[in-house]
Amino acid sequence: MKSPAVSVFLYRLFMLACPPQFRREYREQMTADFEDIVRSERRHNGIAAAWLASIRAYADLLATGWAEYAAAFGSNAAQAWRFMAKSPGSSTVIIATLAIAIAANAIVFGFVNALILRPLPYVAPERLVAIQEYFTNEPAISGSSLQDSMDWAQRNRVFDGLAAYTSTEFVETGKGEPQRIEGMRVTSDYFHLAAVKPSLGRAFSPRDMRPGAPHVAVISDALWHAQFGAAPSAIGSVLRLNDRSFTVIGVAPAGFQAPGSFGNPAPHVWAAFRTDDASRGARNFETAARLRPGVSVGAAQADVDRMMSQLARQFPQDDRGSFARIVPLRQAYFGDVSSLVPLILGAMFCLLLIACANVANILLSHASSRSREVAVRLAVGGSRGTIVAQFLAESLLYSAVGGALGIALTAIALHAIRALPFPEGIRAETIGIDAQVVAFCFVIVALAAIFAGVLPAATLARTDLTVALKSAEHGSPGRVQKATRGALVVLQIVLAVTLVFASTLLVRSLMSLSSVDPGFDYARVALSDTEQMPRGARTDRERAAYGSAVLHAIRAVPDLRSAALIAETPLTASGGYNWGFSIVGQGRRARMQIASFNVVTPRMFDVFGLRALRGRLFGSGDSLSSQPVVVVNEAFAQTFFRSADALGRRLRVNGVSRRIVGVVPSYKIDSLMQPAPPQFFLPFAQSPLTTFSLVVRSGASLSTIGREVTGAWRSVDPEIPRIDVKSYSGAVSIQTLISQMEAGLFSALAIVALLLAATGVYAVMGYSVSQRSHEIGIRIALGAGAGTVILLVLRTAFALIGIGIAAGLVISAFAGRLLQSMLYSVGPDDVLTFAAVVVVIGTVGFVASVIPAARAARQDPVTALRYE
Amino acid sequence: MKKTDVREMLPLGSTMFYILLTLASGERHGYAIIKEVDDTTAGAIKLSPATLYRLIKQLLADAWIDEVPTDADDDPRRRYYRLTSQGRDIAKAEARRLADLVRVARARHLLPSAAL
Repeated sequence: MKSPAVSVFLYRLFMLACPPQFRREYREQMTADFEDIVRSERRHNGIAAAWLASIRAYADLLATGWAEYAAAFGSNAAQAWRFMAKSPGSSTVIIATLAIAIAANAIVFGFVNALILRPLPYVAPERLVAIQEYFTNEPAISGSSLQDSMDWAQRNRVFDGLAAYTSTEFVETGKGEPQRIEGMRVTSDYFHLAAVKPSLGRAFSPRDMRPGAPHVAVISDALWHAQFGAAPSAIGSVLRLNDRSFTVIGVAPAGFQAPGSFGNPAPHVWAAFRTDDASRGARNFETAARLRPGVSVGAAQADVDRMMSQLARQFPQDDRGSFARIVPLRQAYFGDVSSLVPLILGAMFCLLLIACANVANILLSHASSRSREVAVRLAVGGSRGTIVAQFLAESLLYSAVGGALGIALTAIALHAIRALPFPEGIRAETIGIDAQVVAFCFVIVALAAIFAGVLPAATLARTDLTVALKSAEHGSPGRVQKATRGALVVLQIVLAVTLVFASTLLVRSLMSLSSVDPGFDYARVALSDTEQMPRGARTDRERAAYGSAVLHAIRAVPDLRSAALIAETPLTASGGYNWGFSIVGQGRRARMQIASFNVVTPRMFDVFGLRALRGRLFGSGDSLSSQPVVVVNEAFAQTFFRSADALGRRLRVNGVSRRIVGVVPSYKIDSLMQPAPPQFFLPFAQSPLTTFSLVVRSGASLSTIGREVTGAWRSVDPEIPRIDVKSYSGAVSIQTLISQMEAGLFSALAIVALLLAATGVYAVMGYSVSQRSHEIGIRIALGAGAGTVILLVLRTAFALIGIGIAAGLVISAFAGRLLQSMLYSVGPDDVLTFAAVVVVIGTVGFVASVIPAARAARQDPVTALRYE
Repeated sequence: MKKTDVREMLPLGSTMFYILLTLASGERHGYAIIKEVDDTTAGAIKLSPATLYRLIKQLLADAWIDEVPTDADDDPRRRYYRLTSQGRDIAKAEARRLADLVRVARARHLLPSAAL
């Protein structure tokens, strides 16, 4: 009778579900029986019954395979558990090592995941893009113009919602003491962009933006509860904000995450811009848009390019030479930081490898005492596969226990991290253990089990039977094992060198960043929040008069003699502000250029310790009725006038021709890492802006200064809210925050790595000494001194450490290149750093190996020999 | 093995007991066991090869059965198994345990009394 070929083929295929040993043993019999069953079914009950029987047999194979594997794992795990209980000392070390490494990985991942990797908290965030405007001669982002944004919103073919916005602070008056409220000024499409509808009332409409339209606002759910007791009648009521009456038209839903408020305190009021609020040349708004479904960033870029060339033709004065770039919103927020992520993950991975090398080493040292057991098992026909499985079960058990401890450590650490004083805008409350962190831990545990288990398992499985059976009596390791363990130590040292090198570079970079000269002196300088010009002051004359009266009152207080008003405070969150100008006298070549700009009262230079390099500073003689003047910094003079002296030349700013009367030293504005940009200053008295800050150099305490400033200011303007001042150096220190975090993170990883590597060296040297105690005993008996013995042991250690350091330095040279963008004034090939790493690792390696060496030298030769 | 040890093995799984029962009447190869169990249980227990050999593996490991050397003229794929004396003891003990149960069931009138 013909055998049912297809069903037999399938049966053999399903047999793969069973463990190989079982298959080898019973394959032929099972196939024969299967054939008989199918044949008999077919003969007695027909073809359908035969197939039914086949299917039952296939299912039976799957179930049996599963049961066999589960039983094997169970017995392996039970054996691993017995082994663990038998050697509590090494088990503790192994589990602690793994727990530390797993926790370090999970903590860093939890932190990075919460702050960087998680999707932005907006509706369909992957379709949100930022539109950034640039000038061809200005590499930095210049912010976008409200008018340009409005035109994009009307003319584009690719967006489903486009809004410009800026974060601001409103002063609310008319309800007791004036209050500050965080808020945003937005264009009418803002809530459409956010894809969120107000929970009460309506969102903005284009009508709200028309010149002269009544001022309207949407308020946050929190403000609605706080000020209106969550009453529906809040709609239609009036808020006095910045001396204007805003009608409340809507309430944002609870928990609304406002696009554009990223990095700022959560806003509570959104007010609609009116198109008469800003000119096309003012580029100080952010613009974001939502891509229509199916539109790529590239397609959107092409459409924006098309619109920009239209606008450049239409408004050559403002828009020629400007272009716009589409960037996914996520990248706009995290562009710099997210390049860090692979580096951080790489560093964590190094740490994990070091820990696993340690564990592998300890397992190996036990393994050599077990090589007899392995040899016996091999001799009686145990397969090498089962021996590998046994070791993997062991390392999996260790990493599972280590992982459980690690997760507990992570939970504690993340809880502590969340309580750190993060700067406003970093949403630290999302840091914590969540499903992703736990899933990550599982992956790490599995990796750890494989890294730590495979090497000992593979080494042992290659055990040469005769050698093992003979030599195991002395408990001495085979050649392969010795080499493997040496290689593990070298690997640990290589990784430790790399991590220590990277962290040293970052620490050195942080040190030079912290000691960088910003070009101005802000010690003992206090800074107020941004203040608003009262609405009553409509004209430049009224504003100048208001500022002068306020300053006069403040300076009358003895503590506050050295006070000044300034529009843009350098090196703080407010940073720089760019403005267009042209150089008078260049005829038709006079084109619009752009530079950092500031409006200040005369004392500002004094407060920041700046002297005129050439010409003069502003004085009380500069007023609206005197000749318009401008002061420029050294970088401005060099950039725009080259060698020619800028003094006496003229700039056209906002249509007014101004004479350059002085040149001051350049200082850093946006970031400590970037060189000081060209900047020009206008005197407050001639060009008062509607927002400004107060800076004061004083020895008084911040609270005293705040109280005195508030008192003096209220004597001029009782409507002003309480003024709190902060220390300028505190505001600047946020500049180095990212660098501090980078350096801190890598240093912590490097220290753990160093400790783990030291443990590894110590363990291997200690073990090697114990293996050689017989030889050493003979040497001592023959009269070798302690020094000779120590040298003998150290020679082996330093061969390994030397190779590790050499290879580590080569890898460090590459790793340093990856760090380059994070470094300030330190190159990735910094010789001093290389030298420091050699010294640190060399010292740690020396200490870790000299202890076992000294122990060896002290041993009693009689004991060692008798042991034999 | 001592008697107390045999008791500790009980009760046996019904499939395993049927295999022992089958082998109690002589040595069998795998398919013969499958067929005989099918016949004695009137099709209630249909053994599939993988399950059978998983149990055989256990029985061999516990030395309740052993393998019989095959004749040269047999199908080389076939292997024959038979009960060891320990296996027979255990099968007997299980049979006694079941017989006791049946007696109790009769006394409680769960089964018709006597018959045979």
